[in-house]
Amino acid sequence: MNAESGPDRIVATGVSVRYGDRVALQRTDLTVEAGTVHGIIGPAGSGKTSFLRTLNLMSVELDGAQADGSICIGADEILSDERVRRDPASLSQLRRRVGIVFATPQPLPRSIYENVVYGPRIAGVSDRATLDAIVERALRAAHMWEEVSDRLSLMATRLSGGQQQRLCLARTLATNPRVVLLDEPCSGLDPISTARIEETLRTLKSQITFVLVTNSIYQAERVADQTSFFLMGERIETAATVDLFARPTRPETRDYLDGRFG
Amino acid sequence: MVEEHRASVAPRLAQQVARVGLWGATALTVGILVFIVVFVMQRGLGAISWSFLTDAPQRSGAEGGIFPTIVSTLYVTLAAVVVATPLGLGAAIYLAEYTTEGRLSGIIRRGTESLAGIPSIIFGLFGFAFFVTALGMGWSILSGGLTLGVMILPTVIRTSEEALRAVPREYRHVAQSLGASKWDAIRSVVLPVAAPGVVTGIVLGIGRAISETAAVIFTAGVALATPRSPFDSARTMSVHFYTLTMEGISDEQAYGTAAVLVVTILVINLAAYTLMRRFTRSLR
Amino acid sequence: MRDRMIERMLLLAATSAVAMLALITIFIFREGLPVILDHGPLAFVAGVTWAPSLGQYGLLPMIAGSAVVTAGALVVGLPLGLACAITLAEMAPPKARTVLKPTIELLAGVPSVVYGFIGMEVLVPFIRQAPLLGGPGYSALAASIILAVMVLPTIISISIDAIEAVPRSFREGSYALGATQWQTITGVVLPAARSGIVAAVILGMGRAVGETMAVIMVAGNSVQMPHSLLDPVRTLTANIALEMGYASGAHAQALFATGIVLFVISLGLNEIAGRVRGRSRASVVVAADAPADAEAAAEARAELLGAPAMRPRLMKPSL
Repeated sequence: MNAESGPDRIVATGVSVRYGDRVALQRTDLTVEAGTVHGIIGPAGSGKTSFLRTLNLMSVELDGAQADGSICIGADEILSDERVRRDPASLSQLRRRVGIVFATPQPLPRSIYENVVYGPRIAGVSDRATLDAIVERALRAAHMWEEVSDRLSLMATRLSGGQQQRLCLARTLATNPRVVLLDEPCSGLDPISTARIEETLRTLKSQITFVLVTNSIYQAERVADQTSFFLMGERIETAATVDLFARPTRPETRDYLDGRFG
Repeated sequence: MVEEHRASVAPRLAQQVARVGLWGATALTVGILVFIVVFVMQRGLGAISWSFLTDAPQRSGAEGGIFPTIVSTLYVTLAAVVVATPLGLGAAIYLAEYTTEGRLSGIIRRGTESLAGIPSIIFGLFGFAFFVTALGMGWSILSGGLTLGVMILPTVIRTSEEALRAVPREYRHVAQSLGASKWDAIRSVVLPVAAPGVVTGIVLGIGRAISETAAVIFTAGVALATPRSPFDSARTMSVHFYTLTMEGISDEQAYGTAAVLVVTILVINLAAYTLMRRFTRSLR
Repeated sequence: MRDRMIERMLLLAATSAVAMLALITIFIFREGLPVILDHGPLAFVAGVTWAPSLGQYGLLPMIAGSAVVTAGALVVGLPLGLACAITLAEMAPPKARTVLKPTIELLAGVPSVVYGFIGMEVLVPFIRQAPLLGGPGYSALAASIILAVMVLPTIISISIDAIEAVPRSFREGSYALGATQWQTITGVVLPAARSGIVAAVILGMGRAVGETMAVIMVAGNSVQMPHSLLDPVRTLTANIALEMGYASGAHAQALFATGIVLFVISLGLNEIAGRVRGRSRASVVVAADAPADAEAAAEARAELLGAPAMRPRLMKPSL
């Protein structure tokens, strides 16, 4: 969104996540190159969502998980460095920098305009002209400006599911993130909205690193540059998407992909 | 075949009898309520007039109006709300948003539940010993209002907490994922959504404060003049009604006051009910 | 920083209820305990003579008065309340429910002085003139009836909750075996809801014991051990309210001491009710099998979102 920030590289080392006694993710290493779309596929319970939600510390802060290991976003360590979590200001900053789109659209109970400016407002932007510009940029990036530009004061809850999800994406983009995490963002969406969201990923990946957890390997095929396969709390394999699908090296990966095709 | 039929007659009969009995009981209960309202209204509505509501009482209340008591009721209730709302809402926010179910929240909840179960006459005793005597406020609107505030505190806490809990968790997650701090998220997203529920609790507390007599008599006193400062003693409508009745001063005035009381309560309950329906609808 | 401060302030507010409770306890006990200790707790509670001018403070007549009146209220109120609860929870169609339930809850909103007044104007003369009754009219009977009506909303709403918490699978099992609705209610639902209903009764008792104004207006208020329901009685609450206006010195302290007794009884009842209720929630969830478990949870959540749990039923006026 903003040329000077630029996308961040994510380096996760030895990251494990557990909820009480249940281990959701075993020690995992993963590197996501800046300016790419990284897909994560795998069956339910594979730990992919736990991993994703640890990338912006949501799993530990809001879901009650314990996480160990190291996560570097750009040049900043966020997981093993206690200071980040203890300081509300830096947590807020982290969340603006690493945005997230959830599986079910969660518009806030206010207008489209207010949804998009929520993040910037919290960050202190109050000038009306600036906010207007942010709204337009964000909605254009999510490919929905033309649809809603004349009714920005409409309650977001009145939008269709696909529109709501794109609104959530726009809302996230409005905070100028360098990384955007997406947790099965298109599950249950109509094909057009899905296509629009994927288009957004393609156009913006030069400016934002995207990590996309998806249940659809077709989607991974369409948009992800690299893809990782998770199974039962373990990262099994990572490769360039074309290579992963054409020539998976691990039998588990092969089984999963075959099952999906069948 | 015949045995089967015979065996099933008794239960079916019991079922019919039970039906009648149960619905009868319900009709009786509803009938009692209707009787009360009709009884009071029938005799009291006639006494209500503009002058009844705006005139001062004459001859200790045997004639005239009940204006000072209306004002007193408003002031005392206002004081109670001013006390109970910030404390109650604050407590509810803490319980709903900031605690895990640990020892501290357990103690707080037990305390709140116990406070709710204390008879109002005990509040009267307490208010007298503490506000009127120990703190030297004397019989006054302040003493009465503060006492009532403590009395309705559990109501506000309970309703507000449930309203806050009814707000979907996702709203908080979304707000925080966009960079809002915990309090920012509560203030800007959760509270506005929970507001109707919170207001309902306050409205119900107001209803309770208005109906209250025992706690008010011993703290706000029985002075019949229109109060001019928070330190003045004041007689609320319910206290006035009680006095009129027990001293046998005037039946007509008593019925009139009762009618005003009942109408007020009906309106308040209606408001609370509508608010609550709208709130739960908005969450669907 | 700011967030921390806000959290601290909210914690302060949260402890206010507990602080108030402590304050109330301290002040009531401070004023009333000396008298109890001077007279000896047993003599105070079991003494039959209450004559402040002679320095005699025996609470037994008032304790008996409260007990009789409360028991009477439950004898009338429990069957009636339970019947209403069953009707509303099991038999009434949803449309009827949305009308009936708030109406009955409205009963809880009527000020107690209005109840007392109606008792004075209607019930007391009726008892006085009725062929089988008689007496001065101002009696334990009158107080019991008025109190029964006043605790009805409490008993009804808590019983409804208890009944609704019974998993649907219990009922379905009974129907599947050919039982009628009434058989199901008596055979399956009520037993399963038993602890909740017991809690409702105990809480109703608590409210009846704590009621002041309505009782003063119809119970007669003479200090004597009641020998029949038609005798006038004085309850603990009435004792305090009637004499507080002009008591001083040891007399006033004795009234506070009465308050202590009342306080202990109410808190005790509340505590018991709370324990019984806690047990009822746990046992229903444990006894149910997995699908019903989710159902009970869903029903509990629905209760939270629906009007029932939202209304602070325990908070309605209890004067």
